[in-house]
Amino acid sequence: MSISSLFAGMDISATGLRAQRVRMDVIANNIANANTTRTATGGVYQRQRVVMEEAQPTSQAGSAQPAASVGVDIASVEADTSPPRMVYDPGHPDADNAGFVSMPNVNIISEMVDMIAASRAYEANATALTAAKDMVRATLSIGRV
Amino acid sequence: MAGPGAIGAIQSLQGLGQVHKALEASAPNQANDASFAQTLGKLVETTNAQQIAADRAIVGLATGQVANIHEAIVSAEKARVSLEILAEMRNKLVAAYQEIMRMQI
Repeated sequence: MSISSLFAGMDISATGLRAQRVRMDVIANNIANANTTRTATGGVYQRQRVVMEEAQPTSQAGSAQPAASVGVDIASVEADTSPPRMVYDPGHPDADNAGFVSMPNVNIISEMVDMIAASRAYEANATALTAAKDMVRATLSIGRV
Repeated sequence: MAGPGAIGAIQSLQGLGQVHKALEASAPNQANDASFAQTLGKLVETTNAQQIAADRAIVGLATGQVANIHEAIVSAEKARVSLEILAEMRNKLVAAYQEIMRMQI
């Protein structure tokens, strides 16, 4: 039991803030590449999505108490493998023989909705962090006369 | 009329005595029996570490080494709260000392 255990709640919320920030970056990348037909790996841009996992607690040897949760981690950023959107545009340099261009499987509308969800989730984590801090300060105010 | 109240007060005093006995009994059983000075020293150390971490985070933010702004803010807030805890501890300590020094001999 040390003083740093008082800040466990703040640390957990900080991992949530980081995860939502990465998610926001990925969404921004999807929106920026909504019309990208060429990538380094060749082929059309594929929508990226964030996979989150529960962070593994570092278990203390000899500790009888079960290790508490320590927040969230980004497991990976993976491509959405749904088929690309086919657009008829014979003049496009990347058009196939039939005149169709493979456009990224990015749906701007669902990206915008995801963006709202990410920013609200970020706010929720920030509020949880503030609440954890306020709880410590409220405890201190008990001792004041 | 004052009877039941007085009895209640005596009973509550006994209750406090029992709590005290229970505390005395439980205190030596604790495995890591740190002295108060050690605990306070550890608190000062932790607070200092938090302050240093906050300093580093702010420098890192300014020099671009810390990519996430919230990491700097969180460590600054941790430093602030732990300093408040330390100040509160110090206030309590000084108040207790002054209370004892005021005692009539």
